[in-house]
Amino acid sequence: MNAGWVESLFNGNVLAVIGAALAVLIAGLGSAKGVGMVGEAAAGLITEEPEKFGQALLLQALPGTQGIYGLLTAFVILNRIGIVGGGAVTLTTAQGFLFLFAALPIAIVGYFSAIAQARAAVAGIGIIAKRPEELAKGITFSAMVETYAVLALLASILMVFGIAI
Amino acid sequence: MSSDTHYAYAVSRVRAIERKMLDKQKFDRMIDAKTPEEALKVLTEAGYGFEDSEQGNVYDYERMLKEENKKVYALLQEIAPQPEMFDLFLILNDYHNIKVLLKGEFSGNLDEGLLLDFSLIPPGELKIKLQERKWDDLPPMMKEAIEETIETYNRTSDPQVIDLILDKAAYAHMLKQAEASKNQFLIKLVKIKIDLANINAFLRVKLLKKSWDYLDKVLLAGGTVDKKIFMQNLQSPLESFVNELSRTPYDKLCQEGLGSLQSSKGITHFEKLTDNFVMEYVRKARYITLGIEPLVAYLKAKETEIKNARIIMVGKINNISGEIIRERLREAYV
Amino acid sequence: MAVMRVNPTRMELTRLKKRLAVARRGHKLLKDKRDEMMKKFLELVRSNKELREKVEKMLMEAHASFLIARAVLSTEVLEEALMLPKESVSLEVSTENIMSVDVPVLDYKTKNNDSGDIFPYGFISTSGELDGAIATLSEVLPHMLELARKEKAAQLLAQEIEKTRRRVNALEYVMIPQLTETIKYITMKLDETERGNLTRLMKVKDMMLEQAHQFEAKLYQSDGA
Repeated sequence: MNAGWVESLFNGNVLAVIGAALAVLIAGLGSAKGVGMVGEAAAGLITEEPEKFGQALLLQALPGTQGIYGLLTAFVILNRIGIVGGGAVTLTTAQGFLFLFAALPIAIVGYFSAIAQARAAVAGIGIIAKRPEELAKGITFSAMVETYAVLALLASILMVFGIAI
Repeated sequence: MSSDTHYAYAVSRVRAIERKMLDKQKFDRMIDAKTPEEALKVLTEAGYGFEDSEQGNVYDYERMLKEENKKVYALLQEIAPQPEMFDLFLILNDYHNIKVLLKGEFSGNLDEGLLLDFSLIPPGELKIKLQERKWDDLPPMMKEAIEETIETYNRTSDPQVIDLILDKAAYAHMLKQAEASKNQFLIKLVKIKIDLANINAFLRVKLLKKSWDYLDKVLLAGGTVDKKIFMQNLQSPLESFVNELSRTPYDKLCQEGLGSLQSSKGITHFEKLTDNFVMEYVRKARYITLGIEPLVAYLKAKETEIKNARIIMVGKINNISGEIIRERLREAYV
Repeated sequence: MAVMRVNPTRMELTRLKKRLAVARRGHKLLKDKRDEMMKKFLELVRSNKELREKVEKMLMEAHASFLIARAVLSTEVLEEALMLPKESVSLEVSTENIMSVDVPVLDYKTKNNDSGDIFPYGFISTSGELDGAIATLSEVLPHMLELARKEKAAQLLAQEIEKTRRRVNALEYVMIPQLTETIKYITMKLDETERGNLTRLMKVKDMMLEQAHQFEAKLYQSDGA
């Protein structure tokens, strides 16, 4: 009874799904936190200067990308193992672990980069509070963080595609 | 993840408000105004004034500034995720109220207009507590200070002890509160304030040629500059005192202050330098995007702005030349 | 000049002459007094002016530093600092007699002997500018009292001078001429009476002589007849 439960946990397919879930979950959490934080900051600004709504919204959207990357990774994994798009395959435990670890870069980097990006975006809100004309620079600083999320995404996707089934 | 992310809203709101603060150009406009009324108009444009858009007369400026100070606290209490962090800055007002109430009691002539109503304990409540001698629920430090003040005054009937004891207690209380917050920025700020107050008091005691005893009574505890340095240098020339401080952050301040004390500018200029020093410290918060620091910086900046506004208004009303007013203006934050 | 209504008698004359002598002496004395008082007054006014300028300068200084203290500190803090005074001053007033004028003498005592111990506030919450203002004010107090004394003395002296001057003038332009006139009048009156008497006596003498002649003539006539 007990052994069957462990066995089903280490089933390759289950592990791959866990990987996909983690990519969405952790990266999404990071993005949610990040977007929320920038949103709060934007709200502070809008209380005083409502006309800056558009600019603030742009900055708020920036940390949202990590969540999308997470979703994308999850989608690719699910596609590979056939849960989405048909043609289900049975994975060995090792293959399952491969998928699980392949999902981790975007999950973990996504989480932290989203929050780091959010902080940069909050600073960007500070910039537009003082000098609305410098919005582009604020966005640039924040977007730099995106690089690492993209790199992580790239790594994750490459790994997922590289795993031989 | 640290808790400073809670400050996102407050910080960016403060950043937006900071834009409306009086900058150098606006101060210049006030100084160059032909009449006090014109100078006052600059203030009203910057958002100073009363809630009910009551048109202030020039001589109401003092009330207007007080109102503005109150507004700043109200705003910070409203937007800060941990409003109790700002209690720290209200403590001085409580001790001010205690001073007013005790002095009023001793002289039998209490002017309630001198009480500040942006304080931890509402002045009305404090008054009743002091009148009925029921102060057990006050913070222990405050309670002890009050008891000591009353006891000492009754023994010596020297009004100065009231200020001496309560000032000491106020800063000790402030430091304790800052330490309780565990925020290094706040702790350091309070320590800087203590050090600067001590240096200033030291210079004044020295100018008045008072004894060690006296200096000992005046100096506050808890600063980074050791009390011994002050005590040892009371009788020696100022240069040696400045030398002693050359390894502290106050080096530059003291060098400049020494120059101004030896020239005709006197202690006024030195006091301006100390205010600028605090401002410079607080300015570091400009580069901090999240946390209580920008809020504290705003509070201090606002206090400086109000001080500057007062200097200009007093100067304008009394027809003091722009040169003299400018000499005394503190550096603005923005 | 009007002549007093007096009986032009010799007794009155002696009395008036005595009065004139007294008036003349009084006039001289009062004149001397007036001159001396003028001298003192001018001295007083000069030193008063100096003192006044000094006091005004000091007050302006105190005012200026107080103004700065007021600018740097909020009203509440400033007024709290000065709510309870530390120093108290007691003032005793006595008088001194200068040229028969009672000028006040102000004697003040401070409670504390230490002149640096006048600050009723702590040094932490106040500005150093306030020290300057308070110190200057405490320094200016004795000078202000001295000034008050001098001004009052000058005022009293001026009154006294005015009074003396009026007296001198009254003596010089009313009393003495009047007395002189009256004396002259009485003397003339007395001389007149004297002359009247003389004439009368001469007339009587003539008449007597005539009578004596006629008697002789009659005698002669009767002899001739």
